[in-house]
Amino acid sequence: MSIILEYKSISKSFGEKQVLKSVDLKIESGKIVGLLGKNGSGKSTLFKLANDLLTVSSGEILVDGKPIGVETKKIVSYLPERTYLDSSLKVSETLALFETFYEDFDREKAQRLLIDLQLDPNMRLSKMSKGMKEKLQLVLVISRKAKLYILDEPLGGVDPASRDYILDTILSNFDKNATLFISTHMIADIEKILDEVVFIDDGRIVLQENAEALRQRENCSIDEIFRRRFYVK
Amino acid sequence: MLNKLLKKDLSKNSRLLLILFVALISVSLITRSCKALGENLVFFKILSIFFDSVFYTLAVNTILHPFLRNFLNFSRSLYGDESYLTHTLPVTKNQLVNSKFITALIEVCAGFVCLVVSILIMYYTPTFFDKIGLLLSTMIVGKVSVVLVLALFVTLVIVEFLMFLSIIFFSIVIAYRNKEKRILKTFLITAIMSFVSITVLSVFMLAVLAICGVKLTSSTLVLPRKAFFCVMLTGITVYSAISVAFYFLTKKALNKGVNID
Repeated sequence: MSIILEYKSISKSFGEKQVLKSVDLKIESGKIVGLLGKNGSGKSTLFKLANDLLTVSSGEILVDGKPIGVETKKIVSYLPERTYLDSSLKVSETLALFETFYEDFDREKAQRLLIDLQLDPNMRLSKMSKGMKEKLQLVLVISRKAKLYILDEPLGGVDPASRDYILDTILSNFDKNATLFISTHMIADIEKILDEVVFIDDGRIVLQENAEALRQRENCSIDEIFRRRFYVK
Repeated sequence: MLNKLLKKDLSKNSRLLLILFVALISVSLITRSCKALGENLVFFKILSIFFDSVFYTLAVNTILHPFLRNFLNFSRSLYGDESYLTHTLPVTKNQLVNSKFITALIEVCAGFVCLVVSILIMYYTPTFFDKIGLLLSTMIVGKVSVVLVLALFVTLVIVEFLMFLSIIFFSIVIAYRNKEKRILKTFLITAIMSFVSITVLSVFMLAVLAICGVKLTSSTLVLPRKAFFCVMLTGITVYSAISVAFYFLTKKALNKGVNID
């Protein structure tokens, strides 16, 4: 299998604080990979670096063999942990915005998902709750036919009742040949869909393994392995 | 992609600026009408005084709003929550900077055009330009075209606004490289760069005046026609050059990468 995302000896510091410490990581195409770690372990930093939102202190990141730039942004669909859309826009205008900039954006699919998630296309974002905005961003992100989807805490602001539906929506809508790189604290909710897990702790990758093999070896769920490994006394 | 970015950036302010521009033109028309009617009716005279103050408030806003909105949009779009979208769009950093500068240029110019039109609506009479010519004759020795002088003056103010905007854009990019004291750093860099720019302009203007043989010893400065035009053109050239320099510096600084919170 080809490598869709590769971090080569990546270090990232903010002033004195080193957030990532010589990270080497390869993500293969066509897999669903979970990035799991405690708060402040460097998950979001790793994602932001791949999306040109942070600049590496040292090392190199390649997406589909290319350094971060216009060409990689065309094939990466990124869902950040915060809402980033202009509040003055209507839902339909955000769809038009994505359609304008991303050639791979499927507007019909987005409109179908809006109906499924009961989002009114004529509603202004300023009138929407945080959860509704997060659902809209998810719709926009998964309506692209990208090669790599990077989802940072996609279930963070979603109520428990909607989580399964959101997960099903993600799974049934993203391209099967694409790669899904996802981070969350709700491991129990997503571990059933993961092909591979990556544990990150204190800016270092401490484990990268096939999810099923890890479960069998440890004879317990990934959620439990995570809890054991990162237990805070 | 630049066209798409421009459309996005221009549409951001368009609604508010359009309302402001339409309001200014409308109020200038109303004030002019009230003044005409006020020659016979006291009610309209009082009304014209009220609309006069509304006009000046709107005029100031028409000039300041494009400036302030572009400054705010630049920082929000490149470093606020919206930056998560801006920096993940498949566009180059150069295209992002180009779009911001072109948007600022268009909106600042539109504001000034609107102001000039509204002033003409308010005050134009068949002797309007003669009166300004009379005023100019106390400052400039020799015959000058009033329209040309006004055009040069408006151009000078526009490029001055654009220069300050380009300094602010550059300061934001530099200040937001680190996580700490960003607003203070933006303010300080802007203040220092503005001071340096104004000093450079002053030196050039003094040099031009010296070349033209103007002595700066008298309390009232009356310029020969040639010296006046040289000073105006020097101002426009220096301001434009500084704006262009900061435009390239902003591009260079942004291409070194960003660090979004």
